[in-house]
Amino acid sequence: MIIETHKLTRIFRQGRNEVKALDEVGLNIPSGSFALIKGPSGCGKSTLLFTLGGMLRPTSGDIVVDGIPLYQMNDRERTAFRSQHTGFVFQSYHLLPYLNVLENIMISRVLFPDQVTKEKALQLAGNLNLTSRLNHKPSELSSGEKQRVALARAFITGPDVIFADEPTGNLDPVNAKEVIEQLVLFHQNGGSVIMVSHGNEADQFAGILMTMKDGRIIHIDKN
Amino acid sequence: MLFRKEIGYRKWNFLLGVLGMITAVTGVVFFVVMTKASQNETRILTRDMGFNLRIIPDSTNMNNFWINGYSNRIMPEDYVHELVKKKAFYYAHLTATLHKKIQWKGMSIILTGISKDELNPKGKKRTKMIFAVPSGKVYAGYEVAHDAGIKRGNKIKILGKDYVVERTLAETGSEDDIRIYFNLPDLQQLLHREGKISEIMALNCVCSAKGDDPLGELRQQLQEDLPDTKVIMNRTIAVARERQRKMLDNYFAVLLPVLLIITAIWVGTISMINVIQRKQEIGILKALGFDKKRIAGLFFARVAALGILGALLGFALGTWLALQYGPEVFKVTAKSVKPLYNLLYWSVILAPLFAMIASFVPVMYAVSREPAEMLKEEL
Repeated sequence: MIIETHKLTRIFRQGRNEVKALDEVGLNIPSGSFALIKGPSGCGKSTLLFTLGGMLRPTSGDIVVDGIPLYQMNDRERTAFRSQHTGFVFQSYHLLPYLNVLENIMISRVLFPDQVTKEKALQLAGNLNLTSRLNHKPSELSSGEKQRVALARAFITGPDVIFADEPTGNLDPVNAKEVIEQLVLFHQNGGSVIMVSHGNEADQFAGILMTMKDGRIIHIDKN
Repeated sequence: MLFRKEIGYRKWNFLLGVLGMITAVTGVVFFVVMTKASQNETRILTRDMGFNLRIIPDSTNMNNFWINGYSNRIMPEDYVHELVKKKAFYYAHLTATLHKKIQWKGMSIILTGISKDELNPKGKKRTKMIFAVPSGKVYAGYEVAHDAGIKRGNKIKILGKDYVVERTLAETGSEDDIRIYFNLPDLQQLLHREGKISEIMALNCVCSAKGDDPLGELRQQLQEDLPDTKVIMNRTIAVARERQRKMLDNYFAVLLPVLLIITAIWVGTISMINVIQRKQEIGILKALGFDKKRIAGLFFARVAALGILGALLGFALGTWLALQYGPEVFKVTAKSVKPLYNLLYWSVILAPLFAMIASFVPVMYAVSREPAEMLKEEL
């Protein structure tokens, strides 16, 4: 899945002030990339990630995915696009607190009953060392376990690209390493990963390393 | 499944919503059952006050009318059927009567013939206000029976004809105590006045009139329909009925909207709290590909469940309260205070609908936002 942007701008209004979170960002992420976005807090990394993932309409400019302008789709089409092509992993996991591990992994079953099966969920849970925690609620899990559940939830629909917003931000080094390994594994199996990070643990795996400042990409490293 | 699990997880928020709905439905059910009971009580009490309209021949001398207590003029019995046909004439319990004062066994008594049929507007069934005397039989008023020593089953001769006393009536303290009641055709035959009557008694509610002068309106209607008649209204009874009915209507008109507004605010607030609590959940569901309709469905299923539960419990509580306190308030119709099961039907339909309307704005606002806006306060 090729993702291109041209003059992507996102302005937030805070009272009477306008904050330009993205300032005419232009980039091209080839299919099967592991792209890492880095930069200081408030530079617009997460805004860029969410906008690329079809979760935040830009103020101007557009994102073209495989030749299709993402934000020219209506809300329903964009929602369908997300469900079919993308997976998300967040720093604060965003698991549904009233569902257990297995139910959280299988949440998309409502949308894809044939694709999201219990067998697949159990297999993913096994791969992510969650088998013994299947009936536990998120409140009963460690941070590392929560993030692994979030990864399983993202993987289960077989997305083309995973958008990860500081997925290791709340994790200790051991769990952070495990999460990165899973993302790398996903990438090695042909998927794209676009990840925002403060740390350096994923740098060695990133094919594209973008540095942002004040809403702009100031540096791109391609390995 | 999702909404049931969420309800279990945030049970206090759900229970607060149910409590709001229970309060509203209880209030409405209690109020409606009590209003119905009050209407019954009012109807019985005011009905027992007697007919409030008397339609008599226009040629009646009113001095004689008030002295005798009836009109000594007659009019065709068909007039009562004419009135039934007139839709503009607001009435209930139209009863044709014939009266004649005679001397009998040294007493001055009134012979009164009552039509066995009370006529009502089409499609309206009403409880009878007055008894029907069987043909060939009579009912004797208290004084007549007492002074003449008449008992039930006695044969008496009136104007040369024999009748069986079917009932002797209790003392009323009115001129009714000196009456002998007949079946109308029997008295018409006895007095050689076949097809004639002296009065149509009716119960009319002045609330049906559009203007400030209900009697004037009635007279105008009658003038058009039955020009050789006139109408007399017992204003005391009519006004009492009117006031009582208006009072109930006013209570209902004020209390019901207040109850609904309070409930709407309550349920809307509970729903808004729920939406705020679940902001990130909405965001993640949208990110995962749940469309607006599906997410809104989760919220509306929740409020519908809240509404149905509130309706069932509210109906039970409201009915119980009404059954508990209604009979103490409405002594005359105590036994008629009963559960109104059609309210259960309406509660179960309207309460969830109402809850969904009350939560519509916060839910639709939340599901219409971009997922990222719901997931992160600051981007």
